[in-house]
Amino acid sequence: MPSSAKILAAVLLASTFVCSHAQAQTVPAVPAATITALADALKDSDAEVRRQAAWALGRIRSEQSVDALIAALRDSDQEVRKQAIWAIGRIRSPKAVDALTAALKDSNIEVRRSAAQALAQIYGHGGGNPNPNPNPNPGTRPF
Amino acid sequence: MASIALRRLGFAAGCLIALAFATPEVSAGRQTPSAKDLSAVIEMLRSPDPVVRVGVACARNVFNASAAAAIPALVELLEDAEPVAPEVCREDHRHWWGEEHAITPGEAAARALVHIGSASVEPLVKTLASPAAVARRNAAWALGALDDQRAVTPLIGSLKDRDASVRAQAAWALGAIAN
Repeated sequence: MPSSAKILAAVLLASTFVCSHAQAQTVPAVPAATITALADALKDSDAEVRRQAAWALGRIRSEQSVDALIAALRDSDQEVRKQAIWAIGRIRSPKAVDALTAALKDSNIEVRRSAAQALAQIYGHGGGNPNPNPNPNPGTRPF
Repeated sequence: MASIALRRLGFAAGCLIALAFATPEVSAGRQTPSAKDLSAVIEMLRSPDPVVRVGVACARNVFNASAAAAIPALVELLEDAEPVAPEVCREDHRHWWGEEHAITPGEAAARALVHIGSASVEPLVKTLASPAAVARRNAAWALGALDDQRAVTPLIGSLKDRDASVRAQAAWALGAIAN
């Protein structure tokens, strides 16, 4: 069982790597209302809602959400900060470089690591993010 | 003790049901379960035993575009949060991740609705207004998995749901639909 789990993990990792590169060319059009609503959800009182919103914005990859995601780098929840960094890394917004550089001094090692990876992505050396999607959906229910 | 024996019996029944629908006839040639099969399925979805309800809702080759008649029974099940051992659901892959979460009839129904496809979208959107938070959360998940643009505006509304787990699931779903 552990070996098959490892193989599955390796395959998933490889496929997300390939997908993140394939998606780099096309940014799908998402209604502005979705982005605004998700940016608002980054200020929700519940940390899980903020995490999921950051994940969703990372999937959408719109420049429009970068300011809200930068603000989320000051979230009290480290998972939210990590997820926001992941999203910014996917959007590859040069605007976020200063905020990411500040996140290199975060109190949490995983946040600092994610920030380094996101910076690498923005400078064009990235993609091989060893933790490409730290977000399992709340129920972790398979599709 | 008696309840454990009953569970075991229910599990065996669930397996038999799953086997009954896994006959080569259904999986190879004929994709559509007959109206009679489908009404039996619908009846079992309303069984008093949660093991039977999950076992039936998990029968993968029953729920496809031609099983739309089962939608109302599955939608009713969305608020059903009675946990059942994951082995009851033969399509459950969570053990891959070393997790052994219980599964609920509501979750199994949400998956069945996703397998039925496009016809499930409107009833699921209506469920976003259900009084039961569990039903709203399962519906939000299914709408994300169905990846249908019609769900976007209703899901934006669910980001303001009074229940935090519904808001989180709606945010996830909007990201899932976004490609």
